[in-house]
Amino acid sequence: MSDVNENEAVLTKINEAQLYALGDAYADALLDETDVLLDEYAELEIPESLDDRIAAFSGRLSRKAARAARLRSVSKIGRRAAVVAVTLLLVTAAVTFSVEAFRIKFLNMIIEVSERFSSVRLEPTSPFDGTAALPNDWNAFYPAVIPEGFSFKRASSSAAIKNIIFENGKGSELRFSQSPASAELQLDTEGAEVSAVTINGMEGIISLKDGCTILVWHDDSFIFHLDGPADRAAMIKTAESVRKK
Amino acid sequence: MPEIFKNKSGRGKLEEIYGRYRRDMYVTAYSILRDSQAAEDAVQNAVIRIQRHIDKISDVECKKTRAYVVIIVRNLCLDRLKGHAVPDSLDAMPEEPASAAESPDELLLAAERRREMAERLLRLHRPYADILVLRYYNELTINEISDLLGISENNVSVRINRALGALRKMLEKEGEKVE
Repeated sequence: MSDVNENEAVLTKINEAQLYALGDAYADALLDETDVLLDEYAELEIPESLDDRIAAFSGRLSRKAARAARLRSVSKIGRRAAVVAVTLLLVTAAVTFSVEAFRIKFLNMIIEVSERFSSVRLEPTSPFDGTAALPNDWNAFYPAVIPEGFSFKRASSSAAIKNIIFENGKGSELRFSQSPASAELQLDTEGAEVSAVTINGMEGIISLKDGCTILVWHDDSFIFHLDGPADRAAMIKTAESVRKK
Repeated sequence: MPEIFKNKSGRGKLEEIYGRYRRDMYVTAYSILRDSQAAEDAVQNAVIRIQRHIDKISDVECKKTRAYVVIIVRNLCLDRLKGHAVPDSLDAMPEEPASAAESPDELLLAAERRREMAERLLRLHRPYADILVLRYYNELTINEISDLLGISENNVSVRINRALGALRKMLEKEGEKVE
């Protein structure tokens, strides 16, 4: 019979309960020895550095536990917030699609927002420093950003109408003009996709035809006109950047 | 001693254990290593290991926990010492005084007899006896003992087997036949 099997046989004889009792007696003997040691080393002082090290270790454990508890709390709040958000979304969807008027308005808002967002992402703009490029006596408006790829070509004025021309080096031009509110403008909208637009709180219309976008808007004093080969979102962004020199 | 170890309110279990048994641990370590810095390192090492298995301690102020803490410190110190004395041979059992053979039941019920066996283990098979106590008295697993003492699981198993082997020989000498 091998040693291992013999030991296992011992264990079946002296079951674990008896080994526990044996351990208990051993502990008594061990601690009696320890008490003797404590008497022998009664004058031995425990270094403060040891207490400090253990206190520092304990502090690190506490901070780690506190961080873990905060993360669990944030995660729990995050999950609850997600549940609330999903619930609200489902409720909104249920309400939206059960009330026709609300549905139409809601969907139009989504379409407008997504178009605006996706359009801006497609064609970037770049800044235009009108104060440096325009004549010193240009006491009028100019766009502070223009569609990417365009640069200042020239500025002109006749009577009360101010024009700024930008070009992209490929033969295409972007035109910005400012006219008095009393001026008459003709806009070719036949076959064009025309819609209302608001530029910085001012009413306007935007027309898309044959790859060209025309944007006209006005306040009480002026009519602003912007036309060029840029897409709708870039033109709107250009229009919204218009400011006085 | 820092307040955290003295003030009961807001104190964790680890702080309670260290506050209660810091002297036991440091004196045990110093008595083996005879160097305050080494003793400090050994005690800190023991505290770190105890913390990893803090859930195994239910009652801080009891004999079992005190023995547990002392055993861990002592074994870590013995491992730190290089060329520490090799434990007495398992075969070098002291001669038992002649006595009438006793049945296992009488043996197990006799508290005095158990103490004699414990003291025999204490004298001859210290590293093995410690592991036997951790395994069957403190009820730790092989893996936990391995982590606490910084030895391999195989080493733990070997020591347990050797301790049981020593018990077998004791029983045989008592006249108990092992099948």
